[in-house]
Amino acid sequence: MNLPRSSYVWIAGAFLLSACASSNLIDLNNRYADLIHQKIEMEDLANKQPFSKADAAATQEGIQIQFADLGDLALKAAEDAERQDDKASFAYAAIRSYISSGPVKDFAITEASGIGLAACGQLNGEGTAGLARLPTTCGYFRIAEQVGINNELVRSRKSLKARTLDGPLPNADGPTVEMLANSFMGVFEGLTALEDAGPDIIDWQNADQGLKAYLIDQLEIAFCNAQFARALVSDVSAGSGWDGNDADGKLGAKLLVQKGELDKKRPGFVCKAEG
Amino acid sequence: MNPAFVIMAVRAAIRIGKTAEDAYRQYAQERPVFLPDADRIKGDKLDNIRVTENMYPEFARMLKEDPELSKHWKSKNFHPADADEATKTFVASAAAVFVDVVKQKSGGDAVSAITSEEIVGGAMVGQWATGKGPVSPMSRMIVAMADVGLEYIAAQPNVLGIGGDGEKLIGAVAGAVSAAIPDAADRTALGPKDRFAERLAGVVLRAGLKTMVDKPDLLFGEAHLQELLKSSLPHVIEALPTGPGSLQKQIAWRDVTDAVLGPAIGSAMEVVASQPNAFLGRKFAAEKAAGVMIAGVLTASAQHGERFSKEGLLAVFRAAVHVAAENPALVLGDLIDKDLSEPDSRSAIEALGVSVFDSVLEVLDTKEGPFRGDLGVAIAAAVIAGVRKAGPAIIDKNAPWEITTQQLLDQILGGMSEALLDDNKSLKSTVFTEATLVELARVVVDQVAKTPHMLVGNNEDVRRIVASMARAIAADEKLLLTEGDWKQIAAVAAQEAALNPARLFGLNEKSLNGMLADDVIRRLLNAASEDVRKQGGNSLMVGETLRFAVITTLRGIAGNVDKALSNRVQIETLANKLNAALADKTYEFGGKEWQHLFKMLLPSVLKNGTVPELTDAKIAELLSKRNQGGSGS
Repeated sequence: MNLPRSSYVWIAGAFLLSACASSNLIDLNNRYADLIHQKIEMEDLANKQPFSKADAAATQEGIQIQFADLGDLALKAAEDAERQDDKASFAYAAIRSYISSGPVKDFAITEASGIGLAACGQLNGEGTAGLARLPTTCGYFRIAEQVGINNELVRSRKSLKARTLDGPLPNADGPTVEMLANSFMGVFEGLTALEDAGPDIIDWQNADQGLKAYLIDQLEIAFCNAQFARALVSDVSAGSGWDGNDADGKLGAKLLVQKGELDKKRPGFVCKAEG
Repeated sequence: MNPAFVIMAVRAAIRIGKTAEDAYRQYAQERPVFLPDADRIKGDKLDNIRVTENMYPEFARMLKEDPELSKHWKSKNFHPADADEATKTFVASAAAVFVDVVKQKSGGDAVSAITSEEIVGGAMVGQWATGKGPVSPMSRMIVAMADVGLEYIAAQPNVLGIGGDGEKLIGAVAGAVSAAIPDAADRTALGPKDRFAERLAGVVLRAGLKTMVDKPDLLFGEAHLQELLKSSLPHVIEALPTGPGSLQKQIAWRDVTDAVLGPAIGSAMEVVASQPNAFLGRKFAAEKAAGVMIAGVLTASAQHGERFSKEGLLAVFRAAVHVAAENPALVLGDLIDKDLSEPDSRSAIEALGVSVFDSVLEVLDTKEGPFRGDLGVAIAAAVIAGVRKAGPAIIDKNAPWEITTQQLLDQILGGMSEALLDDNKSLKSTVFTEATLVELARVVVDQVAKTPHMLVGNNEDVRRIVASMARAIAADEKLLLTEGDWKQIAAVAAQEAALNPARLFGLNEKSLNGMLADDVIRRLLNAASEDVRKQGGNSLMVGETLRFAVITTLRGIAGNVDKALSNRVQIETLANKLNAALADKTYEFGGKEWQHLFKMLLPSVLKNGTVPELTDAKIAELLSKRNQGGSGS
C-alpha cells in the first residue's frame, strides 16, 4: 500500500481525542448504530410469540424517543458548530435520527435540513464541490427533505384511511385525497430531480454508488405510496362537488408516466405487500 | 502491505500529532452511514386489490369481465362493513393475487412480504465511489489501531516505543488482517468485511496491548504473534455473513466477536508467550493451534451462546488453548504444516476449533440441574486444565484429545450428580461452593494422570470416587474441614482407589462394600461433631487432626478391606474414646498427640475389632513410643 504524504496527517488525527467535534460526531454515529440494532431486535421480537404486540409497541415508542433525543443532541451540535462542514455533518446526523424517530420528532427534519443546506451554500460559495469535498452530504439534505414530507403524508393517509372504517368518506374530502396522491407524486418528482443535480448538490461521479441505489429505493417507496393514496379515491362517496372518476383518471395518467420512469431505473420493480 | 510500513506510519502519526484535527474530522464524516428509508404505506386487503387493479390492466380486465368476479367487485365507494359474506371471501382471495403478482414480478422466489429488516429499512451509504475517495480500508484500519494505541501510550509509554512489544503487535495485526482483506482497488466488492476487519483490528489491538501492559515480563515475538493472528482472524472475518437478508446475522456475529475475541486473544497471547518451546520444535505449531482455538471459541459462541455463558465459554477456551499450545500435533493433525490463513483450511479449522466446545456440550446435555449449566462448564474447564497438565500420559494419540476430556468429564459430572442431586435435580447440600467441586474434579484428574488405567475401557472408578467423595464432603455439614483439607483427602482417596481398584469404592454402590470409604469418613465426622459439641473450642479433633484421621483411615482400610468392613464401627469408637480420654487434658495434650495415638491404635482396631481402654497409663505408654515411629502427616 502506498499512502500519500497527506495520509500521515490523516492517520495522526486518530490521536487527537481532544478534537471534541469529531469525537462527538463519532459518538452520535455509534449511538445511532446501536439504536438501529435495537430496533431490528425489537421487530424480530414482535414477530415472535409470546412477545405481545403491546410490549412491542411500547418498545418501539421507547426507541423512537431515544432516536428523537439523539437527533436533538445532533441538532444542538449543528447549531453550535463553528465550522460549516461540522454544521453540515451534525445536521446529517440529526436528520438520520429524526427520520428514525418517526412521528415523535420527524417534523424537525426540515429544520435540520435547512441548517445543512445553509452550510452547503456557504461551502459551495467558497468554491468547493459538494460538502468539504464530500460528494454526497449536501444531496442527502435534499433527499431528507423529501423523505420527511413523504413520512408526514403517510401519516395523513393513515388518518384518512382510519376514518373509512365508519363508512365511505364524504364527497367534500375528495380534493384532500386527490392532493395527497399528488403530493406523493411530488416527492417522486423532487427525488428524480436530484439525479440531474449538479456536483454542488451531489457529485455523482465521485459519490458512493450506494447513494444512487438508496435514492431509487426512495423513488419506489414514493411511487407505491402514491398508488396506495390513489386507491383511497375509491373510498370517497360519489357526489356533485368532486368527481372521483375524473380525479382517478388524472392520477392514473400521471402515475403511468412515473411508472415508466421508474421501470427504466429499476426494471421489474414491485410494490411490496404487507406480510 | 508491509507491516513494517504500518509501524512506521503509526509512529509517524504519534510524532505529527497536533496537525491532524481536520483529518480526524474527515474520518468521522466519511464513515459509511445508515440512511433510513422513507415510510411505506402498509395497505390492507382492499387497498391491495385496488392497487393491483390500478397497476396491472390484465387484473382490472379480469375483475370487470369475469361474470362471477364482477358480481362481487364494486371498485368505487366499496365499504367492507356493508359487504355480504361472499364478497368478503372474494376480497380475501383477490387480495392474495396482489401477493402473487409481487412474487411473480420479483422473480418467483423473492419474498413478497415486508420483512422486519425492511420495516427498519435503509441502506449503508458511504461518501466516495470506488477508487475516488482519499482513503482505503487498510488506512482506516491503521486509524483504528492508532486510536486504540493512544489509550495505552498515556499509561505505558514504552509499549509503543521503538522495538517495543506494541510495535510487534501492530505489525502482526496488520499482517493478519491484510491477509484477509487485500488492499485492492475493488475493495467495495468486499462488502461489509472491510469494515468488520477495521473493527476487529481495534478489538485485537486493545486486547493485545492490555495483555502486554498487564504481563510486562512476557516476551512476545512478532512472527509468533503474527502466526497466532493469521491462524484465527482471517477465518473470523470470512465467517461474517454477507448477502441479502444477512444483516441480523452480521450483527449477531459482531456481538460475538466484540464479547469474546478480545479476552480470547489476550489469553492466547499469554499462553503462546509463556510457552517454553515457543522457539523450538515445529515452526509456529503452538501459535497455529492456539489460533484454531480462537476461531473455534467464536464459532462455538455463535452456535451455543444460549447454553454457555461468556465467562464459561472463555474458561473452557483458556483451558483448551493451553492444551492446544502444548500439544499442537494432537490438536492440528495434518494441518500442522499448512498455512492456516488459506481459505481452503477454513472448514477444517472450524471443525477442529469447535469440537472441544461441542464435546463439552454433548456431555452437559446428558446431565441435569446445575451440572447441565455454568457449574458443569466450570468443572469442564478444570477437567481440560487437568488433561493439559497430564498431557500425553492420558491423551490417546490415536484419538482426538477431547475424547479423553469427554470421558473424564462424563464420569466426574456423573459422580457428582449421583451423589449431590435431590429428586428436584437441585443440589442436596449447601456446603458446596463451585470452587470445592472444581477442586475435587482437579484432584481426581491429577490422579487419573498418574494412573491412566482408571480410564481404560468401561472402567467407572472415576465416577465412583467422585460420587463417594462428594457424599463425604456433603456429610460435613458443620464445615469441620476446609476446602484445602478436602482436597488432600480427595487426593488420598483417589490414590488409594487407583492402587486398589474396586476395594474402597466398590463395584456396586448399593452394597456396603461400595460405600466403605463414605461410611468411615462419615463416622469420623460424627465423632468430630460430637467432640465439638461437648468441648466447643477445646476440641482436638478438628482441622488438621480430623484430616489426619480421615487420611490415615483411608490408607488403613485400603490395605485391609475385609476387616475394615467388619470393624468399621470400632473406628468411630476409637475416635470417641480418644476424644474422651484427652478431653480434660488440653493443657497436657494437643492435636499431635491425638494424631499419634490414633495412628498407633488404628491397625489393631481394624485387625481385631477391639478398642483398648485409654487410661492415663496406657496413653503415657503409647506416647513414649512416639519418637520411635513419629506421627506422620
